[in-house]
Amino acid sequence: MPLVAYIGLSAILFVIGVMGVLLKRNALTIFMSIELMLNAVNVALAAFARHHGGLDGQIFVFFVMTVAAAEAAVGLAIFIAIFRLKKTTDVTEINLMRW
Amino acid sequence: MNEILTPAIDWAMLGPILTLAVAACVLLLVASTPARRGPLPFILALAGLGAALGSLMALWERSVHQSAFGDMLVMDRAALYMGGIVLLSALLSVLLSRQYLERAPAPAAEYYALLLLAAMGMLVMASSNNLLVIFMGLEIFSVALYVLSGITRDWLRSLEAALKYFLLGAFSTGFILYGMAFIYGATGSLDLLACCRRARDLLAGQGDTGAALLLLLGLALMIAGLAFKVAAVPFHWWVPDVYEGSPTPVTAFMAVGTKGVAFLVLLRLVTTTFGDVLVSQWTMVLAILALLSMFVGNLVALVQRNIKRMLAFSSVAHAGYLLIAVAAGTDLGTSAMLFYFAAYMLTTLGAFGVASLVAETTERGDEGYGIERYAGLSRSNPGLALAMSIFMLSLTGVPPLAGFVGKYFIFQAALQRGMEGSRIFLVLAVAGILLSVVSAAYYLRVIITMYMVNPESERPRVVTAPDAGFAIAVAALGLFYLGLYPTAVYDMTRSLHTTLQALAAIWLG
Repeated sequence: MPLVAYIGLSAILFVIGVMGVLLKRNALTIFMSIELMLNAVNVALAAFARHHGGLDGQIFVFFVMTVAAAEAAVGLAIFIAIFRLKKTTDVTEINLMRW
Repeated sequence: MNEILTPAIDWAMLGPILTLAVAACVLLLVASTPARRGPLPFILALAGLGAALGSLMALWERSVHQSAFGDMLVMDRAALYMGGIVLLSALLSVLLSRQYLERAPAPAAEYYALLLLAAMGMLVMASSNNLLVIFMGLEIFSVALYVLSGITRDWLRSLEAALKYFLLGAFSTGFILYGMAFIYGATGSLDLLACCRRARDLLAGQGDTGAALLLLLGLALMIAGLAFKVAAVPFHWWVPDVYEGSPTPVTAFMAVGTKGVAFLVLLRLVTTTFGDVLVSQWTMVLAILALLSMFVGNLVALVQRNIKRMLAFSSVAHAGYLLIAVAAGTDLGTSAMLFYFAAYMLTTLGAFGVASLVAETTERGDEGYGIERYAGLSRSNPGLALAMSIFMLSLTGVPPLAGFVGKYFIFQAALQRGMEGSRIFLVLAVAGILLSVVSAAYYLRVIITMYMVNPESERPRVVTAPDAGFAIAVAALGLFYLGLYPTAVYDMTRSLHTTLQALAAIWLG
């Protein structure tokens, strides 16, 4: 398959992720959408690495996955702490601060 | 048997970064012993930061340009200067934190460990010379700051700040990463040096147009992500909530550190890596961001009644002033930006420091950030009120304080570009000066409240611990020093532009 196909797939995944972040209200779903964005990046990086015949793009993918895992640990901990106090993960209801 | 060759690593160059990492690990060990309740974590944090600062200064003396790991990390003087600002702000933030942690429900040892890790990530990002390293530095300090902003986890406000910061921060990371993937796709390298060379060929019309388009798209995505980190309009929506909800000493450190290193990376991209090939597109985009940030920041700050939110919008406005300097892209612009940042660091730390002292813990959490609470502060705590006045005047840009000199350099850089024929810089300079006058309204309101408004009830004296008082005094005196004797620091920042340019010259050689 040509490179364009992979980049097209990655772009579609990325846009779905962005839409999910902007439209969804549950913090967990938003976080899953962000993960989708990161995976779109991974597809693009792997495809470009293959295209250029280098390895650094593929190595980058491992770093992205590792960091995504660390972010997930921190994010889920924050969600649990919020749920403990507020009994919801709906971001529209977590609105103490407004101007 | 062949001998396994170990790559030559210059450990001294990693001194500041390694020191912080080791100190953070020691702090995490202390967190599991009974000593966590004593003064030990505080002392360890100060020692770690002090040692890191010492090794940073040793590096400064060594040479102008030094790099490690096959040029992945560049410890040039620009990186060291910004690293020094980050470490100083961490140091002041730790001094302010001890008293805060006595009333806040947060574990001290973990708090300091995360603060040190965040500072370490900032140092990595400041000295990065590779897209992968930029990303790693960014994430090291971002993840640490997500946790720090929610570390008082019995206070809903703090958790809400953590949630918003986390979701929006991760979202912006996605954009930066996608931008990096595109730049990698267009240039075939993660190294900024190779990117730079390849970008010149691409935009000169060699290679296919698809790759050139990919490069521009990638840069636009990266700029958007960095604009989020520096809190520029229209990527600023997270700032007021996160700044208001986070523990106040963390807010101060976050406001300075995140912004500082993101601006340095922006500067590296704009003035050296992709500088001369993309000047016209850059200038326009950054100028519009600057204009919007100054307008929105200053005008919205006018209606704020909460001091932390007011400072948050003021930090959006200051991102606008700093962006003018970056957009100028000249040596005057670079040195103005770096000088302004030193002044911004002192005022931000000082102002948030006073805010953290004046606030108090109630059963609903951390309260007392309304501006009305400052009524009568001049009588109960004359020293604190005087310091706060100095910070507010410096933010406004009143001589002889550092804020004035910084703004002077920035508008001078903008006017210089304007005289050379870029109309937009004349607009930026005029808008910046007018909006600085507008900003006086909300900064002076704090001073008027402190000195002229009588409190409704007798206000208790604010208790200031000696270390917090010391930090605030240092910040206030530093503003006078930078304002009255700007030459020492300004000459330093002038030489930094030369090092950034020297880097580009070596690359393109």
